Amino acid sequence: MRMIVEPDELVAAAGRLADDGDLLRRLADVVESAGRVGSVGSGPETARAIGSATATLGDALRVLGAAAEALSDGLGMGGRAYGDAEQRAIDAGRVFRG
Amino acid sequence: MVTRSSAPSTPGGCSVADLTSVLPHPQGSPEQLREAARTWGLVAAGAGSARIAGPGVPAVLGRVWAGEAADAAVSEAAAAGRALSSVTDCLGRVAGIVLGHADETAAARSAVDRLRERWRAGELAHRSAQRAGDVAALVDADRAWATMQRRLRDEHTAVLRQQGVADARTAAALGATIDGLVASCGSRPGTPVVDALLGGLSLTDGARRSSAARAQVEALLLRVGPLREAGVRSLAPLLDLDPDDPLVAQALLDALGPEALAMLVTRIEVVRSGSPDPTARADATRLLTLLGVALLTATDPRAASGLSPADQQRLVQWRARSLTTLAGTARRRYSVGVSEVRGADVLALLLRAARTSRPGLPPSLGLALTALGMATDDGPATPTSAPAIDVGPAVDPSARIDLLSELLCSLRADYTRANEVLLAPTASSRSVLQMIVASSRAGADAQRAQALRELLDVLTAGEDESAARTSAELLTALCAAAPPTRAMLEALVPLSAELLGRFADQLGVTLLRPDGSPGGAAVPTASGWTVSLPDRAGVLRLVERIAAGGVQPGVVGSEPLGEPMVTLLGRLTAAETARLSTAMAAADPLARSAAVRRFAQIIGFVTVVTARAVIAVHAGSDLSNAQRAELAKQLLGSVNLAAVLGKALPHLPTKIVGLLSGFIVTQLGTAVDAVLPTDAASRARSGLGSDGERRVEAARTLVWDLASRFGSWPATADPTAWAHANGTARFTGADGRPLPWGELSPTQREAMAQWAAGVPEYQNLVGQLLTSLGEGERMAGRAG
Repeated sequence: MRMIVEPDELVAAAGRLADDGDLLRRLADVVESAGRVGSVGSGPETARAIGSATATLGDALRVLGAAAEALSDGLGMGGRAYGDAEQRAIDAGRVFRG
Repeated sequence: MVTRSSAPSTPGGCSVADLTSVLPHPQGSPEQLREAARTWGLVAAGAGSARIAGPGVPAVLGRVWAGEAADAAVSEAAAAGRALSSVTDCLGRVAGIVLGHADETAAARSAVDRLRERWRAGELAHRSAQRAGDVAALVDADRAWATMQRRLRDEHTAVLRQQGVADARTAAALGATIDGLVASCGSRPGTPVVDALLGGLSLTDGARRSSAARAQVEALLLRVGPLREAGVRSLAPLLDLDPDDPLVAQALLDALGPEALAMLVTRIEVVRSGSPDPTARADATRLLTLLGVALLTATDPRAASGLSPADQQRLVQWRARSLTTLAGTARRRYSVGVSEVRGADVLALLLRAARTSRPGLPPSLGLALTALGMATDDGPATPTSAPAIDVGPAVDPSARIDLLSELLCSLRADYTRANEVLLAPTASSRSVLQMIVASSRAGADAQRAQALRELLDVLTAGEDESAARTSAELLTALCAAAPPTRAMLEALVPLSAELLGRFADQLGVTLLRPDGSPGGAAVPTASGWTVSLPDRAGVLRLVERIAAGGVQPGVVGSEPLGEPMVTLLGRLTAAETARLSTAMAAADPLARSAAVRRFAQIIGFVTVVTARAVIAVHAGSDLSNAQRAELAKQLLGSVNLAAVLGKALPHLPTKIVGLLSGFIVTQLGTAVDAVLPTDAASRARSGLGSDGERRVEAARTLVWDLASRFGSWPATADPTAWAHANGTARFTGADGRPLPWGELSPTQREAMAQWAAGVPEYQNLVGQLLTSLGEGERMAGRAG
């Protein structure tokens, strides 16, 4: 198995992804809030349908936010682990050469 | 479906206002529907800006990472991106459907508006006809108006019915759109959307809970407001959190960060300790408890034991990062008003708060070791004019809260954990316990010593390996060349004396062994566990420290030697006496000789060390050697080991116990002479003068009585038969053994002395004892 990794880039990618969790959670809140407005402005059956749809879509956005955070955590962990291993290899090389 | 008002129309007509009840608008507001649809459209666009949505993440990962793990991550990112795309598409369709329904609703309202206009026109025409005055025309006008009203109502009903159909159609379309989302995730119809999404994402339950926890914390912190200004009252929303949930605890600590956490803890503690309002103090206590329990929970691997392996691994990494960050705050100073604490103090406050309300919740090993590092990294306490944060009941009013003390108190919740921490190695290769014994911090020494002693009282009480190991570490720590603080010695001397007495056999071995060992290990034996001790010099230092424990300098008639040293002397003597007794009964004269030699060397060593420690208390005084010797002898002369010996040697006759005690006391006096050079001392040591004679007599009596009680001799030397054969007074008891010397009459003593002249034990061992006592004394001199 051939493996290539740039630990710093992984950690940076993790950092960028970490914001998605907040973003998607906030968007979920907005979707549900708009759903309440829409429900008030519609007939009974549409009101129920809007409430159900927006709650569902809100939950879906939160799940995706959690997925983004989990992926971010995983990339961060991996990046740091690779970085530590890389540093140890460098240090070992110095000792060997020394 | 909105129903029309049941009020009948009057021949006189309806006012404009009445038309809202006669010809009501259909339910629904096009403006609100359009606003909702517009918002959803914006959200769909906004979600597209998420990193996970676009091709960027897989592309970046593909560029910087290759391999199996990379493939998995790329796949996961792509799956999440596709799922988000499906959700936003669905949201867009929902917005379109609702927008369409808004138009339908607007059209229905317009239709009703037109019906109302026709109603009003008809009504006006009817009124005009009424004013014309012609009866026939009036009847026709009434009939026409009634017909028109019926028609308008029928048309209105049709509009409402149509709008009802549109309402149902819109609801069905929305439901179908959600079903389409489920289908796009590859799930069967009827599957909840979240479950359908989760089927395609590698998202653990822990990750979902973690995300939900972050959302909860964020929402509560929004209610709290800016943390920089937050007080106890405004922080109250945080009390809704469950600090026992490791994911909630982690989310809370992440959201606060170390700086904000320190500031809040400082601010809360000021209220808890100084507010005149009991409600405020109670609220502050609850907040500190929340933060303290959250810290302990988040940093304890055991709290995450119910999570999946992947989630646990994630927390492992989080804990490592968090503890490193926490350690970095050790020396930071945080001020609130005129009060100030250090980073280490903040952690101490949190440990105390958690322990107070959750006495069974110990800090994790990682947190404990981090705290240890912070406690020893915080440098000397620098003088500050800021009032110290309240430390609760303290002996010294100027004492500050001490992280090390709080940690030791918290470890009482879990003795296995406590042992793990205390025996952990430090960077300097000493154990944590050794490091703590050697530690010092102005204003905190007494706290530390008391906390350590209370913990060690329990940890060393058992007979298992861990108790032995901890005992060994403690004794090794107290043998160190650098003396511990006075507070630490006062707290630990009684325990160390008790432990040395318990492991008296090892004490003897160490004293007689010229080469040292690192000490600090538990050693298995046939009868249980014992300890290995450091070298002779180290043990000497420890015995000196124990001996110096209770003596008052320069005061004639002050209290006798401290209880710990009396106990140690007694138990050491008992251990060696038991060994000697066993050897006496052996047939091997070399074994007997070796046992006497060991007994005397050890007694000689320990008594000299004790005497030296007692004499050293008077060092620097104007007293002469003779005066100092007299003072020391007064103190040592009042030592009574009978109780300790009797308890340790229950099978030994009382008289021999008394002899032993007296022998030790005599030897202590001799030891004083060995330490302080005076003319009287020289005579005593050469056996001359009353002191010297007493020493020889005490030694002979002891050896003879021990030999009589435990010794053996050939049948040809049987004392009863010898007395009968030689016509002397009988000096044996019913068991055929010589009676104790002290119970013999002068005639009997004369007879026994004649008999003993032919028995090697009675002749050789006394001299050996005296010689070996001197050897032990000299060993103590060299080791010191």
